[in-house]
Amino acid sequence: MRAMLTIAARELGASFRLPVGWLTLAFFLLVSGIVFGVLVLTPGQPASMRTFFMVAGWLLLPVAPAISMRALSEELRAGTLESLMASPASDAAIVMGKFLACVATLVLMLVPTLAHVLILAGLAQPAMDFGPVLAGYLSLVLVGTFYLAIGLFFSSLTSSQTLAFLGTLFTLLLVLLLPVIPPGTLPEGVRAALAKLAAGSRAGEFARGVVDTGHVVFFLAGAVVFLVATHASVQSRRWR
Amino acid sequence: MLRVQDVTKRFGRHLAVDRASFEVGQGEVVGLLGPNGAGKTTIIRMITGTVPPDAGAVSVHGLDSMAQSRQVRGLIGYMPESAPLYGEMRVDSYLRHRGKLFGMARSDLAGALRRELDRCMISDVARSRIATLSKGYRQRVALAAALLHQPKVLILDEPTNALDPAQVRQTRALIREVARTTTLLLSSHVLSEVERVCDRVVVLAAGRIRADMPLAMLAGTGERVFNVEARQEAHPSSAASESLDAGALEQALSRDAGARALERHDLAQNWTRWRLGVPSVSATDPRETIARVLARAGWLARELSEERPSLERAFERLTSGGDAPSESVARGEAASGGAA
Repeated sequence: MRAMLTIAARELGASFRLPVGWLTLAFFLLVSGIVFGVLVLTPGQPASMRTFFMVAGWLLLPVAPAISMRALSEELRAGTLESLMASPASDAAIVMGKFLACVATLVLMLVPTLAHVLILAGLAQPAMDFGPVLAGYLSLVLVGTFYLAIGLFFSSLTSSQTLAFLGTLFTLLLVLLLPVIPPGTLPEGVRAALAKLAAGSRAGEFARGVVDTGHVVFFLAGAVVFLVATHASVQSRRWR
Repeated sequence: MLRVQDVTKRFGRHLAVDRASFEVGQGEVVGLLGPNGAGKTTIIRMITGTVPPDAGAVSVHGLDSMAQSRQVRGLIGYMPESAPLYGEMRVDSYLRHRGKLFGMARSDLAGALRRELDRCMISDVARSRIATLSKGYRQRVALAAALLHQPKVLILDEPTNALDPAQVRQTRALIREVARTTTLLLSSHVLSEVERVCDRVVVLAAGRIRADMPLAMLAGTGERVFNVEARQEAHPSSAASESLDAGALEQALSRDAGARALERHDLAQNWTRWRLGVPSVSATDPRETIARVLARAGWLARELSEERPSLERAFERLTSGGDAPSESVARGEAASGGAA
C-alpha cells in the first residue's frame, strides 16, 4: 500500500514537473473554456452544462492518452523500471500506483472547470439544477478512468510514448465506433455484443444526467480488465 | 550470504548463462568479470529477481530469489548499469522516494539520507535536479540510492561505465570505501576496476564461469611470458653447435624449453624480438633453458627477461574462447571459504 502511494506520488509530481503535463492541462482548459463561453453561456437558454460535458468527453480522447503515455513507457525508455522492479514494491503496487497518479492528474485537470459551474450558477435565472452537473463530472471521471486504464496498458507495451499515445487513441476510436457497424456486415450476435461495448453512447447518457449503474459498472469493469492486462504485461517482463 | 547455484538462462536460442554457480560470503568483495555480453547482467538480474532463471536457484541469506522475491529484493541494494534515474526529480526527493519504496520509516529516512549524501559526496547537489548533474554525480546518486536502506548485499553493475578518468577515480574510491562495510558483488569488464576493489574474482565468458579464485592466484595462472631480443651471429662462437634461422630457432625453443612464440618482431640491425610463452609448470628457470638454446643455435641475446604476471593475460586466456570447458572451472582454494 505504501509502495503504491509512493509510486503514485512520484508519478503525479513528475507529470507536473514536465512541460507535457502543463501543455495537456492548458490545451484541455483552453478548448473546454471556449466551448463553455461560446456554447454553454448563451442567454435565453436553460442553465445546463450538457454541451460542456459532451465536448469534454470528446476531449478525453487525446487528453487521456496524453496523461497515461508517459507512465510506463518513460520508465522503459530510461531503464528506471528495472530499479523499480528490483525494489520490494510488488508489480500490482507499480501498476496501481501509476494508475492512481493518472486518475489524480485527470481529476486535477477537471478542478479548474468548476469555475464554469460557479459562473453559470451565478448567472442562472431560475436557479440551476446541480444534479446533472454532478452526473456529468462523474461521467468524465468514469470514462476517463476507463480510457486511462487502456492508455496504461499501451504504455506498458512500448518504450515509445508516441506509440503508446497512438495505440491508445486508435483503440479508443475503435471502441467509440463499434455501434456504427452497419447491420449485416457481421453475424447479428457478434454485432449486438460489440454494440454493448460501445462506450460512446454510454458516455452520452451520462452527459444528459442519467446515472445508470449498468454504465458505471461497464466503465469500472473495463478499467479493471485493462489494469489486469497491464499487470500481466509488467509481470511478463520478469519472465522474458 | 549470496548463493548462485547452477543457474541457466536462455533468451530464445541464445544461451545467455550456462550452469553458473558461485557464492559471495558475508563481508566479501567479489568481482564478476567478463567481456561484454558474457552474461554478467543476466546473472545479476536473476539475483535481483527481475529475470527468473530457467534452471538453478539463487538465494540471499537463505531466501529464494524467486519464491521470496520481495523479501530478497529488500535485502539487496542494486545499481543497474548506466545508473538510470528520474531526471526531473531533485536528488534528495529521489533518495527519499527510494527509501520509502524500501519501506523505510520516516524517522530513519532523515538520518540515512544525511549519511549517504555525506558518504557519496553529493551533499552539495542535494537540491539539484538530477537531469542537470554530470554522469559522475549521477552515478554517485544511484549508489547512494542503493545504499540508503543499508542492504545486506550490494550489487553494482558496471559502476564506472562511460565515466571520464577523473570520475572513474572518484567512483572507485567511493566503492572501495563502501566495500569496507558491505558485502559486494561488482560486475565489470574492466580488469583494473576489479583489481583495485575486489578480493576474489569470478570470471565469466560466453555464459560460463571460467574461474573463481582470489585475484592473486588468477594472475599467477597459466603460462609465464618472457621477452627475448637476440640476433644470429655472423661468426658463431664455439658454443654454437648449429646455425639456425629464426624459424628453426623457434622450433628448437619449443622442443627444448616448451616455449611458444606469442609474438615476433624484426628490429633494426638484424635484431629480433620475441614474446615467448612457457607453461608455468616447469621446475627449472625457463630463462636458463632459453639462453642455452640461443647459444647453441648461434644467437646472441641482448635481453632475456620475464614479464610480471599480469591479470590481463590471465583474463585474456580465460575469456578467449573454447580452451576452458565448462566442467573445468578454475577454482582457488579460498573460493569455497566464504560460504554463506
